[in-house]
Amino acid sequence: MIDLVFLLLIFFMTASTLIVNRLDPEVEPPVADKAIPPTVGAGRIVVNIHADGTFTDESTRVLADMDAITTYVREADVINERNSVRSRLVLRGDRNAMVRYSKQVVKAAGDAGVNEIIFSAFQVSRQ
Amino acid sequence: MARRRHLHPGEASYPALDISSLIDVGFMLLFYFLVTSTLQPREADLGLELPTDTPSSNPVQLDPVSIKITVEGAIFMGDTQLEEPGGTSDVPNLFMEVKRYYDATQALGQKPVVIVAADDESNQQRFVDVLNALSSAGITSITLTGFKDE
Repeated sequence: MIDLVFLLLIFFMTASTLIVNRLDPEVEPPVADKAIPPTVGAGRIVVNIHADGTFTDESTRVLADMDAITTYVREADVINERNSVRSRLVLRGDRNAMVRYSKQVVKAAGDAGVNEIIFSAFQVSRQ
Repeated sequence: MARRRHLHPGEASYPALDISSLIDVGFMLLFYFLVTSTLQPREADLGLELPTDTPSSNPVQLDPVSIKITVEGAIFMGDTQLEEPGGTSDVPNLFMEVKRYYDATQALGQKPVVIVAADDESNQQRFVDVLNALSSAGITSITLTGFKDE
């Protein structure tokens, strides 16, 4: 019976796929009902845009300016390239943020050589 | 004559099925589903691909569409206002127009070219409403304008 339990455990661990991105809880993405649930977790470079225009990375470290964003994206892109994975910028912008901030991040990512952008959104409103 | 086995007062009857291991399995499954399930809505992706410097094999692009988002949230296609400020997120008029444009480009075998010019002060939700409509219509490659060196 114990062997069966371990077998089930190993089965579910290998069969399930968990795409894990550390999410900044202070950022509330907008709603887009046609957004597609992610299927590929590799190569995702996350930049959070807060409503006040603050930029943070996946580990909520503040990115002070556009150069910092470009450096962060470039470094992550190099790692992805080494692992033969295509880089994608995941832009988690707060729904109340200004579009100017998104444009800045897109430009900084473009300077780093990443031109595939994913805008993170909820498929349904949380209210 | 068959012997009858009499149960003595101190002798307990054993259950026919020992379910203690099954309870352990039940807890294991419960913990697994607790860990993997979530009550929070999952975030999803609206993918975009921006143009690169690599020259296209088909440099001639006919009839590009220009979409403008004002600071109030109004949406224009060319000079025609399609959506009012504070309109619904499904932007039905915009969707209809971009779908028509996409179908036309597909019929001609051309790649759709959409240019989105969002005012810097416009709202992120409104911008995503436009991306949502474009994605619904089948357009995932757009050009963003209005970049400033800051």
